[in-house]
Amino acid sequence: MNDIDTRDPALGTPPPSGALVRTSTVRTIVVNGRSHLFAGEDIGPRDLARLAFPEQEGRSYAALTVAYEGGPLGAASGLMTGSVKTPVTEGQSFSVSLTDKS
Amino acid sequence: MSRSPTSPDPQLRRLLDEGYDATLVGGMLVVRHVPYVAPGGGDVRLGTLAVIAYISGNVLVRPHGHMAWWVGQPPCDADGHPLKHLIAGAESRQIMPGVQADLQLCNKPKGREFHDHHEYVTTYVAIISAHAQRLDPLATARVGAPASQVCTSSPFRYADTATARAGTGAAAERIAGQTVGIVGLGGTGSYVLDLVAKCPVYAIHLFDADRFEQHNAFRCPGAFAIENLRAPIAKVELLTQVYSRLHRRVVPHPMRIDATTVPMLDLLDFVFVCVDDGAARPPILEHLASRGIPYVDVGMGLSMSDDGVVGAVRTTLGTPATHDSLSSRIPSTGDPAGLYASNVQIAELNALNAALAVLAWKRMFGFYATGRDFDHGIFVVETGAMHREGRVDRKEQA
Repeated sequence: MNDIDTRDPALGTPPPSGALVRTSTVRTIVVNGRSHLFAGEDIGPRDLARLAFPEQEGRSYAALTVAYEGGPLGAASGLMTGSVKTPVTEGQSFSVSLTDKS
Repeated sequence: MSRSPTSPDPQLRRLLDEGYDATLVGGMLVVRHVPYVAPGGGDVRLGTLAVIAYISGNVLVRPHGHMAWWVGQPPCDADGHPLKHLIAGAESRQIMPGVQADLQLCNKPKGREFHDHHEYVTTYVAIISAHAQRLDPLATARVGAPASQVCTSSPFRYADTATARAGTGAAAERIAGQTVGIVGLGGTGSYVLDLVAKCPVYAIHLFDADRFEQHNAFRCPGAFAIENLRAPIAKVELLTQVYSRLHRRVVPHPMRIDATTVPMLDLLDFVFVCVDDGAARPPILEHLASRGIPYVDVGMGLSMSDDGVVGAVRTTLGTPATHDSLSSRIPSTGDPAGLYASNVQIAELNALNAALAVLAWKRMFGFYATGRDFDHGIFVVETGAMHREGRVDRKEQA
């Protein structure tokens, strides 16, 4: 099942429900094992947290552990924190979690 | 009748009774004052011979190897020519704390291994000393034994023969003698204990206020009896009972470490922080950093997807120098209601997290070589990828 990310990163507010913003290329990305359609050229921890935990809108995303792989040349894999963003490519996978359990 | 833990092994006793200066230390059987001819001829000196102590149940058993190690110059014949048939080559294995071997020796009885350690040792000594006795008929390795032949300074209740066999004693010395703490003895913390208890640290202090419950038995190393689950007992008390069979100084503290109790950690050399609550971390980690105590903080975030468990396992090594730069990598606000993920934990991922934590600790102290600066590692379950980051990476991101 795919989720469609309808948020325009340039505007920062969601468009009307059900609409798909076409200002950026739409790509399929995988977040925590689940496919999503994402419109945008790059993505950061906040966007990913919204996709991974949609029910947590508005909560602090501080200290979430975010890792990615399968990215474009030059940003193929790595870790992200804070406001850092990474360019997105088709099929790229992301792991987003609060690594606090032991 | 069982032998007293402090009385010498029968084979060691026989060597001592015959006057050899023999010692069992660190999984090696060491014989000092072995006369040999030094290169060049005419000069009789004293060397030290060591063989692996093949031990089972704290008793020397039939050896299934025949190599030996030598501290000294190459042993020679009476003319000063090295005993080429005996010398296998140079090897710097540590045979006992602070003592490195110079050479590896090889001698094997025809068609078999040695019957016992007495034959093992005395054969080598005879081969080496015979040449010295041609120059000095009074030269002998049977000099009379010193008062103490069993090393009692070991933190273990029985000899660590694994380290001796692997020849990693010199590396183990780099973590030896430390006083280590484990805060939180859940799944990951109990696996950390399982690994650290097999290291030559001086003492291991355990901190956890919780009782051992049935679900803990499925996230801890080993197999607990149903009786262990029926009697109410603190996790740290039960784990101390188990691991004190191996390590002499496992110290239980059935208490929670928080802002008021964190000074309990002040005398530790290193701390493994294996707590479940993000909010519990800052007072512990900030206190450790302020006291100059390095730590590893571990944690995992797992959840169920349609295709199975997904998530990440985090291992973060902090020092006073890196603590501030790591604060954004370590959860600190907590997720008490489990809003981001359920409390999914899997024993093998607890074990992996613990192994990575112990690796980070040992790497910091030079047990493991390291060719790259990294102190923050993330294992992603669904892809199998291992991501890592160090101070240089963080500076580049800043």
